[in-house]
Amino acid sequence: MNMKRKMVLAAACVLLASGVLAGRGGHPEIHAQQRTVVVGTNAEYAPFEYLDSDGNLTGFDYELLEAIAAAEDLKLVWRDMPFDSLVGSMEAGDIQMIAAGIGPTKERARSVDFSDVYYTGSQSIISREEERVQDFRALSGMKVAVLEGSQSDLIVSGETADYGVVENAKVTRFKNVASAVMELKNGGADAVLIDTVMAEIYCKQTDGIVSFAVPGTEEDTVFCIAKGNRELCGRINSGLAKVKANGLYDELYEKYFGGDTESGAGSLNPAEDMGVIGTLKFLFVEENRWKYYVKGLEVTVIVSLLSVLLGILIGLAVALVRLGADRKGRETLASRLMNIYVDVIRGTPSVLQLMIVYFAVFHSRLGYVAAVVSFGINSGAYVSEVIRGGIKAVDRGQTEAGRSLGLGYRDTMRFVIIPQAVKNILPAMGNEFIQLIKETSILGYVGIMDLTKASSYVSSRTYQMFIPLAAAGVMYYLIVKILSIWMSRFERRLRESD
Amino acid sequence: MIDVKELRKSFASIHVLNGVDVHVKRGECICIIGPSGSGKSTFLRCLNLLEIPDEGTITVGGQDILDKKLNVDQYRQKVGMVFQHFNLFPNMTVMRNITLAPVRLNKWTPSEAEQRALALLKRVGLESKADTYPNKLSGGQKQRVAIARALAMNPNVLLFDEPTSALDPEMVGEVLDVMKKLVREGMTMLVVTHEMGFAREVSDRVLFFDKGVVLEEGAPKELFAHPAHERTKVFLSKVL
Repeated sequence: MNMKRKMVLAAACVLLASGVLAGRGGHPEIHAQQRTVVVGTNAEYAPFEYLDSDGNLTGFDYELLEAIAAAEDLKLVWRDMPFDSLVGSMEAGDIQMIAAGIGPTKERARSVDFSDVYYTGSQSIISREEERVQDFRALSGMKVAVLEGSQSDLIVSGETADYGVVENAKVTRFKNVASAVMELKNGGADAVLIDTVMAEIYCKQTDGIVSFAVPGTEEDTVFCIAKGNRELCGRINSGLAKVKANGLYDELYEKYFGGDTESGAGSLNPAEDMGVIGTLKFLFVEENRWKYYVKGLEVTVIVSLLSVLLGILIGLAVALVRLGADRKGRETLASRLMNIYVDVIRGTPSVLQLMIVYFAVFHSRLGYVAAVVSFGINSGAYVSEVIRGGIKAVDRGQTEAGRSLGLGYRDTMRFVIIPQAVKNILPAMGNEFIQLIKETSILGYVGIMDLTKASSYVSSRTYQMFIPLAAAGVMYYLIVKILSIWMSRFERRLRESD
Repeated sequence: MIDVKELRKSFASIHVLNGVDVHVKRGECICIIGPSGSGKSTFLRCLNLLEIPDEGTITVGGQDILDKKLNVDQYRQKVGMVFQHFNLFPNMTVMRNITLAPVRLNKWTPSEAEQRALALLKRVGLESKADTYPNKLSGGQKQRVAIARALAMNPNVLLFDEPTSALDPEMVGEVLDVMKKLVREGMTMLVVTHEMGFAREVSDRVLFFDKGVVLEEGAPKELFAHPAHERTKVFLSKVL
């Protein structure tokens, strides 16, 4: 440990200690009503925090903090979100605590307070059996896979200067361990740097890889608490002390990090040949993993459907404003705004739009609403263009004929133009819906368990890449197929009048 | 009935109408001829405000139709238009093409609409096509339906914008026959056309448009036999 880091830790300790004192000083017995604390976590980090087969949050951090809360008479509300947005959410005041296997780094100390250390982990290197990496310094110049934002990421990226020896490493960051290990097996990476507990689990599961615990990489793990909330910090520390004293801590430690990893990381069958049926059973039946797909499918379908409806409403409104301006032959303020809206939405990636709406506008709350709003706004821009294009594609002579009979603009639109435009619009609209359904696969970026996310989750729990992902692919394909068959039937019925 | 004075219209930098003066009496049939690009169609479209003139006055039945306060939709009910490309509504049956406007604009009640439309179709010889969609009709039939549709509003004037130019030659006759019948019934008509035979036979007056002005006008026999201007002569020698 270098000097700077020691100082930061020392400072953190002073803060923590004062927090403890403040908490103790405040008569902890006199808490008539239970206090609610919102805790942020990222349930993709077994065995610390992950979802069990019923989709409920569990893990070492979860159980430990619940035990602490019970001891301190706190009520916890858990919120699962992407790792990257935890600290931001706490700064925004959406959550008061983070339990996500986080190390007390000086960068984080700027924005959060730390609890006492509740777990000390270390880093291990996973490498291929035939090209073992048994020395931390050997990582220099290698292709190293890590979990994005994890301690390993900080180390290998040189942000934690204590291990300054990893130079020129080409770092690839993954969202889950299974992908990182797959990258290693496929030869895309030479080594995976990862928490020792996980390294051991994965090496047990996967043939052809070995792990090496790097000496001197012991890292403390702490809970993060909103900056300046000394009272809460004190109670967490006091609760932690109680749980350690009454033996509950040791029980949990044994459960999650003891020899028996089964309980910790779900059902981890050995990677022996299970046959086709066995594999499918393992992937979908065991631990009720099919439930993730059902839930994910439900989310994908519902979010897509509501987004499509919102998109049509927005698109129709925008198209009418812009058509009005086209008709007048000059732009109005409203039409200018609509032009900017369409331009911006079409010119930026939908995943950024989703993250901005979810994190910045909705502050990680009302996840599904945020998703529908984001996709609806996105789709609206495209739908408005489709509608406008469809209406403009109707021959000018049609409008002239209607108007020359004395019909007003509204009547001409309603009876003459729109019925014809619908036929132009429908095929393009169908494509837009299909596009949107597939677009919702980015929901995982904001921690929503849609079909794609469900499949990648199953993949991360079963250490298999192909089948779980392909299964989701088949489901998307079927949805799109059903939709396009239905659309073409609808179009055919419309065409019968021609 | 129609009084046009000093009418000017340009699109961007192109001057299409350069001061047109025309006077039309009730019941007159006027044919407008001239080379393409001479402003014939633009002039006609100005008369029912599909184009808004830049300068000049148009008075119809004593009413200044370029008045900003004019109810354009109401005015257009009295000025029927027949287009080169028919512009029938493809999403409706022939019957509904005809009844849509009069019913929406409360000229016909829904219950009488069918009878009246059938009567109009009979006038153009297409009473059997009431329930057909336009794409099942020939070009000549389409144009006759378009004429019936324009007549449904019981207009005071009918404007024809090259009504036979998009037709196969063998279908021109059936449309011209319907138009001739209208002339005999006393309908006021302005017809932009290349059908010199029609112009000579039925029109009361022929206007020769060139470069955005009425270069020459007169009774058809007079104008066709003794054109006063060299350009009129050249044009007629090409089309006759």
